[in-house]
Amino acid sequence: MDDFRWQSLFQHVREPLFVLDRLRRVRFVNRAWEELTGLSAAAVHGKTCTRRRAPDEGFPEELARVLCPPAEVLRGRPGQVRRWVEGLPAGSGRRWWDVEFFPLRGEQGLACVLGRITCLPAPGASAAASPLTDALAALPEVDKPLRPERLAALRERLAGRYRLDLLESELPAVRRALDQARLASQTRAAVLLVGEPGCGKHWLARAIHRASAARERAFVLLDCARLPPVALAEALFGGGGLWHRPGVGTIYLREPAGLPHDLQNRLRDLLAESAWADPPAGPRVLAGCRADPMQDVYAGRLREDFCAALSTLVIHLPPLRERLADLPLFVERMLDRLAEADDEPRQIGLTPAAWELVREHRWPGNLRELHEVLAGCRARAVGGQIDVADLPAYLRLAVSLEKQPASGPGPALPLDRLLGQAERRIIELALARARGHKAQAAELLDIPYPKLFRRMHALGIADVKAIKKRKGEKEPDEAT
Amino acid sequence: MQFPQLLICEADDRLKDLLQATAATHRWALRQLRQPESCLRLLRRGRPSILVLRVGRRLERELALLERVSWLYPDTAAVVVGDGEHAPLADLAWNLGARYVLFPPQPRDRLLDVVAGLMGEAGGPKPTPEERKR
Repeated sequence: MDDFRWQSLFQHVREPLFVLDRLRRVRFVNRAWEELTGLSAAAVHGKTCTRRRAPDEGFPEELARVLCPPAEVLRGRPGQVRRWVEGLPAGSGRRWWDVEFFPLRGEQGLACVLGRITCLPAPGASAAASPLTDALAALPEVDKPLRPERLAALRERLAGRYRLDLLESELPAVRRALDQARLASQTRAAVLLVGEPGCGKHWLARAIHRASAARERAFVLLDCARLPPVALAEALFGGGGLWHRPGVGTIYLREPAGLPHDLQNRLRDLLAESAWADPPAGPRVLAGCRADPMQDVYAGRLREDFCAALSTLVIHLPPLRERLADLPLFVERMLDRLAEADDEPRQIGLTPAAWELVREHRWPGNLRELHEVLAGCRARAVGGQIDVADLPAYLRLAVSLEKQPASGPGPALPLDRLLGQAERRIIELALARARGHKAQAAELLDIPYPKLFRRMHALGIADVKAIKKRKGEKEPDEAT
Repeated sequence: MQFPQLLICEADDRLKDLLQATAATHRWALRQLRQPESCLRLLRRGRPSILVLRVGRRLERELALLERVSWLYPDTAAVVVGDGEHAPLADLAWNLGARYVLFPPQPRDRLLDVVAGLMGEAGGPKPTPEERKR
């Protein structure tokens, strides 16, 4: 599409928009974009947006960095980032920009990327807008104080890691969870996240917080199973406790069944109060359970009313073995993260044979197990490729055992023979009780005498009394 | 076998003196570090770990370390300890991924309970009843 067509579509749109080609060069910016940045379309046309090298001449480095789309956008997936911007337009202060990227595909793959910029309110614009950002002004005097741009960079990195769009998937169960998470981010309702250990509940809780109105305030994880009750109570309700601090936006309770009952009662009451208050008081509460929470209720660990208070919305996260279609994306992101941990560029992948084993494994430890396996493999891999020999022995063994065929169809189960054996045994029992009297035996079995006679003949059951009579033997009651 | 480790990052020995007995009771290797960056090198070994980080003197490096540990080593519990009462800094530490934040007016001794609780689930041999009595 040529520039004239972009202009006719977007020139008068109120939101700042821009278009990059697949080489990340600016192809079009609209009037709102020019007003936002203070730069004309002609000045930036053809300039490359990059985070890795020096920008083109005449293109501000800050802008080149801010408008550079993340890798997944260039691979065809929409993306959104939050960037900390200073001095755009020239002379202005610091602002957060939410930049959304929409890749547009052509016949030969990615054609261009459409971008939209949303400016967030400046820090301190209102008392409730961004208490966390405003903490910059209140930090204590120390030997080396925290520079605002460093704090901004920290928060930008954090924001970029927990985006709901990273959960995009073709799998229905994951898409349902994503839809529910988006709904959860629009409300303050308590949310219960349920899923096996290591399937990503904490990550999803952070992503919900980051997408919600409370994003500018702190996200607090409380590990109810590992922290002692007295520490939890102090953290929540002690002097200056989390529940009453304006800087806390969301509290995530990991395994709330680990809380003592008195804390469960107190939180239940506070949640009920908060639901009715206008405006709502206290932080928003999310919780994560590894299993069906009713199991904890039946076991007496979790109070049923507290469980109900946490379960206004329940989101189930499927285990990794049900998300194998997303496995390549998970592996790629984890290898990126591991490379970052080693301060190295990621140049490692998996061989086809290793990929096959990774897909065959059931991953009982879910994403956490995958991360540990990849971390170990990365240390052992030679030549930039993780091969089968680099995978842990237990994984190779588990996959080979699952692949082994069964030794045979198993023992036969001849129905008629088994039924005949059972019938024979019951008839013999009845005859023994009746001391050989067939009429009495038929009465015990509740069948007509002729039927008993026929079944005895068919099953080859000997008429013991008749045999004795032919031999001249006397029955015990006849002998006396 | 990978033995668990308790990493203490501080400029003096106060936290180390406080936690030494707890580490010994639970049989965790205690390592004291002056430079925040040294923690990352030790965490790369993949052992079960707890990091106790005292903040307030070099905030940039301390908070950057907290953020990196929380993201790159999510199974490592980071406990942040501050000397002065400062709610915004505490909120920031929680937001960057601390597993517990201990600032006044909470008593410093609470750190013993928190670290012992984290050790109990994180791994390593449990103390015997006789050892607990000591």
